[in-house]
Amino acid sequence: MSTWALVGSPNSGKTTLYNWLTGSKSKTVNYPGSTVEYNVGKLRAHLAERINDQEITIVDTPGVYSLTPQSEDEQVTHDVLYTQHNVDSLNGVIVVLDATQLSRHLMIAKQIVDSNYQTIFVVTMLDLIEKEGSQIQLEELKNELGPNIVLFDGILGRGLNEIVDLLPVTPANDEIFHHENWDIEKHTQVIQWAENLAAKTIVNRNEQKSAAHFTNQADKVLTHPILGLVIFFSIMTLLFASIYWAATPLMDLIDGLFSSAVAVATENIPGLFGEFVGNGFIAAIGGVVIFVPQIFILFLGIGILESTGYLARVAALIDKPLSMVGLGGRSFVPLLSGFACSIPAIMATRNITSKKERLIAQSIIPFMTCSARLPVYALLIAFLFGDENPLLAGLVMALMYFGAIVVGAIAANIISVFVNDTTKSRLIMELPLYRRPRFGYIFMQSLSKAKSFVVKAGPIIFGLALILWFATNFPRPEVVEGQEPLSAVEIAKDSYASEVGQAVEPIFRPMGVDWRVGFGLISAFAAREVFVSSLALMFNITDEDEDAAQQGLLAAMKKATFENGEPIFTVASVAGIFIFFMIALQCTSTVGILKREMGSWKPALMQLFFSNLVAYCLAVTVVFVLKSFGL
Amino acid sequence: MKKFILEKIEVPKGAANADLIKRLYDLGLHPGLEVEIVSKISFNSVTVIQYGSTRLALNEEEFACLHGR
Ligand SMILES: Nc1nc2c(ncn2[C@@H]2O[C@H](COP(=O)(O)OP(=O)(O)OP(=O)(O)O)[C@@H](O)[C@H]2O)c(=O)[nH]1
Ligand SMILES: [Mg+2]
Repeated sequence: MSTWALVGSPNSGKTTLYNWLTGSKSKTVNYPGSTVEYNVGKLRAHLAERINDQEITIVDTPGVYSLTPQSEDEQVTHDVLYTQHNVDSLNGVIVVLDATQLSRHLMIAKQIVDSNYQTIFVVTMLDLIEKEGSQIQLEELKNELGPNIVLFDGILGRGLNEIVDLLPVTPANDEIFHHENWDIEKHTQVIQWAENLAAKTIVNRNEQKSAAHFTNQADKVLTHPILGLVIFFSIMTLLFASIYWAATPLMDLIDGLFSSAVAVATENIPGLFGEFVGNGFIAAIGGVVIFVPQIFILFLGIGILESTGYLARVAALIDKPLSMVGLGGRSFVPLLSGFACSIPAIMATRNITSKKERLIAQSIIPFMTCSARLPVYALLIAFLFGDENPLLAGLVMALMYFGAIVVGAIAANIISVFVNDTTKSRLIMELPLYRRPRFGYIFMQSLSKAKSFVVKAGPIIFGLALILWFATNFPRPEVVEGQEPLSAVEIAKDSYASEVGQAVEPIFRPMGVDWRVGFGLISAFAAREVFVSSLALMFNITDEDEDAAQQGLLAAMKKATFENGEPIFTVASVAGIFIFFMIALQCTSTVGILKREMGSWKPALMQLFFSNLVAYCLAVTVVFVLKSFGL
Repeated sequence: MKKFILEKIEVPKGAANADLIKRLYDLGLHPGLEVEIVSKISFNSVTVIQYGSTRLALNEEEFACLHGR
């Protein structure tokens, strides 16, 4: 058995190679610093066959500019190489070098060679080199680095077998040297060695055909000082609005399917159980599944942006505006991934060098509109604007996303008062070559994300449906002979749920909602998106109008009233729910990750407490003000 | 587009930031290198430079470390 670590400069193609070797589906992104945690995988069986089925472990690591770490992600790689309590002791290192950036990437190669590890050198991006018509003089490289060098094409996987054949070499070297900081003279010497070697290795470049040529042209527009910003805001607005616009047809389709499923279930399964399956469980699942197209479009959009190389440009473009709230360009990508999910986003702050900036970024990521908030917003927007003006509804959706950034900025300002660290933010952002997005790959990744969204919410919704169904149907009143049996609504009125509901209602009344919505708000602490499901459940079961249950959630919301007949969902109460969801920290996994990445419970728990307190107080205030305007 | 030859990499006015200087070297910058200024973006505070096949965006403080002709 032997273990190899993939090490190299950021964006050199390590994760791409890791996926080829192990069959994993780790995310590859055209942005320097996409991997921030090490990953361990086994060599795929059909590859291992080539080397007598030896067991080979591959470790993917975050990209590094030097083996002396300057950020948390580089520390991870450093620890994999030198402390070894994380992974089995390494037999060697596969140094991954991007052929289009060879001279710079050779500096890491030199540091690994000096460390005394067994090495294999993989020169990636073979396809790009071929396309620009360059030749690679492998002999020149071999003279300097030794014989174990393989050319690799990460798109088609050419060269994979040659890499595998080199894996079972001699046992590990015992003595491993740490990288000594080079002084300036030595550093300059190494750079010049690398430049010369690269120039001798890659020859006959055709500048016009190279990927760099296209990149330079595109950058003239995309990173234009003014036009660049306009393009960026247009792209973002279009993405956020099309989450609403593009998904509508698919959502209608899903809605139709679930409505018929509910009808089939309630008509064919007799009694209470049929009610539970149809109006309870199926309707609740439908409540969330209907938002899957939106989530898919969101991931698709982010995925395309990530793979082009554009995000590094945006980071540079908005460095200055971000610096006004104590952040910097490096925070942009983590914040953007916060629109998908806080957890990887908080981890992505590891490549922010400045401690202060990292802490602020970590604290405001939970305010970004994560995909679990999306169903809630979409439902509320559809309620307010959907029917009359779908175009406007899409723009309001975009506004909600920009609103999250405003909330984040305010929070950042508050937090930066408490962080007493004066180090300036670091940008130093490499702008990678633009690449054509691999649509098939991005499509599959987005699909699997959307799927896992449902899979995650499914069991929670099932549990919730069960509890709510029980709580609203019991205790069963005695059926007195000669009297009509009580209707579901009447049963619900005296049920356990109602009892508990009435007890907690005073908490939610100031937000302008009744206990049923209150239950929804509480259930959102299990997973935000469950809010829509529990609303669906609550109103299905307790609605006076038997037909309303079949008409979907929006119709039920429009009809829902307090006991005195006043409508529950008004502009004021919906705005209150919006505000609450924008600010509240309902996700326990986020709190856990905050603790891990910030290093202690205190800031994480403070954030939990204050976010929810502020969310509630602000929601109550907004509802109060709007109500006094008669909204 | 302006080109210049890098003469030294140093934090202005002796403010110590050894890490930053080291990182600029890690990225292949060194005295004697020809560097091109591609554009000034982000409200004139970020400089995009190009040397060899590398394109790099630097904020004010970082760019101020590059002294050249
Ligand atoms: N054309 C081409 N693109 C490649 C090749 N290998 C990787 N890429 C692309 O290069 C980008 C970076 O690839 P990754 O595998 O994520 O790079 P990495 O070394 O893991 O990057 P970090 O985790 O940020 O250090 C992605 O957009 C890949 O699709 C290749 O051989 N040819
Ligand atoms: Mg990676």
